[in-house]
Amino acid sequence: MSELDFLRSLPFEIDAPTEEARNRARGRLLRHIRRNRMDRRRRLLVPVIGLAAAGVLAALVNVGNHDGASAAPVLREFAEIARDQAPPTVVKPGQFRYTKSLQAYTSGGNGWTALSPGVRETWFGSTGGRIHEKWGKPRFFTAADRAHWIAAGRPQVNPPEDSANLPPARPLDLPTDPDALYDKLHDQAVGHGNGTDSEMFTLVGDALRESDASPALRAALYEVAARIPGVDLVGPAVDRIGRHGVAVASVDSKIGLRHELIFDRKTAALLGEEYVELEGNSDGYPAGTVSGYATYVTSAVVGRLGERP
Amino acid sequence: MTDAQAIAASLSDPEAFAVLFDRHFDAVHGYAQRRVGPDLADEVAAETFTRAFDHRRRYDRSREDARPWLLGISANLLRRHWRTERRRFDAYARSTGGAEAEPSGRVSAELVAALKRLPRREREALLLLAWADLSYEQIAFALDLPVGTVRSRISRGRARLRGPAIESETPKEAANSV
Repeated sequence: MSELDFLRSLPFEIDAPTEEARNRARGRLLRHIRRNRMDRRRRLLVPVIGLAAAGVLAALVNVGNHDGASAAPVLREFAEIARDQAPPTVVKPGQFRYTKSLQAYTSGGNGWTALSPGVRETWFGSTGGRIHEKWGKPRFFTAADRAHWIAAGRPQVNPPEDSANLPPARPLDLPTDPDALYDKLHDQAVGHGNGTDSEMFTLVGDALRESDASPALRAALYEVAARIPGVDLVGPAVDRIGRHGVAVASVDSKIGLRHELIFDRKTAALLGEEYVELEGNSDGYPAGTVSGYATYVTSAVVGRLGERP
Repeated sequence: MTDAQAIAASLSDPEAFAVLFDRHFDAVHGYAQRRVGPDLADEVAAETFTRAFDHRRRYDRSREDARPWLLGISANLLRRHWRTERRRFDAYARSTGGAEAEPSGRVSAELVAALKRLPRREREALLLLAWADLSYEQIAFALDLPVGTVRSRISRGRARLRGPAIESETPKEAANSV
């Protein structure tokens, strides 16, 4: 027997991965993809939502209870409000749209997961842009996560700072007629993500997030969201810099995750979003764990790359 | 749809990448399991796919089958777990022959011991050949090495397994990092 045959014949059994391990790994990949996607959309779209300057990071207080009531009435109200808002400031050639947001995403390794909070600044222009991120101290989900991280030799969870150049900003290309918009987003959602309904909600979020959507398009997006089955009213919510708003959410039941969008009551602007783990989620996190968030803090037009308002 | 097409689609539609998971998770898991056992294999196999997703832009889309690439990523991840792998090899050696075993069993135990002493670069290439059933050319792709280098590593590794007395040549691990 050659040494190679011997290696191949080593007397051990290989079991197929357990269903649980496979589901957990698949959920982890999908979450990772979603995080990347959120990131990517935010990099590509010209952001415009005008918001007040940043305050201190405040803990999110989600006052509302999730009672399964439809979000349709409040989303239709927001559609009316959005239609009456002033259109976003135009970014002239040579200028840049500056945005600042607070964000947190999960990072993890062998046996540990942590939420890494950070501050993100972007400059978008027609010829290109820049992104700059600063990461704060990671927060481990449980003491066991922290212990595993220490046992692994305290690997770096995030670099303290990270900068990159961005490609030229791309405008949105969506119809402002609610029926046409619904059909377009529905076509894009079928067969993707973890279900057409939750995927449509994701697409609505993609189009709103730091986007250059006109008042008419934003109104149409809220109308479409009102028609998506399973989009529920979460209730009054406070974002991470203390602004009060209303949260609506869609549940991805395949992986046990609730995606909340928080809107300003007066302007119907998107203030932020939260990912909340539900009972029986595919990663086995305690129910109620926030596994990601973004709060959109500042948006302004600046004259130079790297300039802050 | 080929793996390469799914990766191309995932550049504009990230969720399209999940197809690769559905096709190759079990193979990646099986390979990791042989090297480090089922518990760590869960972790290594899961991380292989998130890492592959991050690096998908660099994927050479002329390669239809992404399995070698995925196994190469898991091979890189497995480097962290060399201590576990070592203990696992010890267990194989014990199960293939102790003092009272047949002479053939003792030879097997010596082979496993020699496998444990192989320089990492040779062991990695050899185990992709023996345990993941990759061709030399696929291993070259997986480990991002010229095929000639893979050939020479595998041939050296096999020679060392044939003659466990060569152990004294074993160079330092770190110096051989790829």
